Amino acid sequence: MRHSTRRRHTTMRLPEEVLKELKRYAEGHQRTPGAVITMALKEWVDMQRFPGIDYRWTPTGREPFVTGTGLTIREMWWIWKGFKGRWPRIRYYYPHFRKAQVDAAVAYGKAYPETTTLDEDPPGFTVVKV
Amino acid sequence: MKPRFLLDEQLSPRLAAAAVRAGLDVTSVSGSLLEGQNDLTVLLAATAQDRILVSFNVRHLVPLMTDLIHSGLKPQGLVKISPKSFHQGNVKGILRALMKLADRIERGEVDPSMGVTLMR
Repeated sequence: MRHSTRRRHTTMRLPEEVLKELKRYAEGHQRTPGAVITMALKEWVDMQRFPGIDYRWTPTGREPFVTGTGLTIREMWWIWKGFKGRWPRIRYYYPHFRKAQVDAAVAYGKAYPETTTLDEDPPGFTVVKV
Repeated sequence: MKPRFLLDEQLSPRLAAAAVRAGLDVTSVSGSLLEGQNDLTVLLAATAQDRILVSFNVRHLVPLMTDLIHSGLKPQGLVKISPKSFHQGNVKGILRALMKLADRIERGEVDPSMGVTLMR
């Protein structure tokens, strides 16, 4: 899915309590209320499109996770890739996974390939060749 | 001293079982109470159990480990299995690499306390 960077202005009426909570959250996370609404709506849209994913805070910001696991989409994607997408092999090595969890991560990764890129190796780590 | 490892959730619990059969001291996040927990909880558990955390993805773990060290805790270490060298499906290759790493840690040739990237 291509991300559009275009922004359009809109107005909306919100219940007072929702607005109050929105502002409280925005202040707590050093964001504008508009940025929080954008984030919340984007995540809601994704969770509607890809049942089985959810968003959580990480030390590097909000990230999509596979619901019911501690795995990010990226991590599940690379398990799927590593086993060449073969569900029987994945099930053998990860007997606690459900196929729907793997499928959700794969569908999300295909829609947003930028979320599946490999991280660089940390520069401060000692490289050990074995 | 024989190193003790905790395998992060992306690593198969069958790898942990195979590592134990091979004589390593290994436990796994998968299949334990740590399954589904966040990275901080996993890292704190590894620290409390004097285990080196082994993971494919340390992006979230590096800042957390730095915080732990600054707060006075002493994590045993962090091992990143480089996905450029080992893919997730190469379970036997990862097991062999872990065995070699354990041997080098035990002989004092490698100190994982500030992070190690395991490559082929």
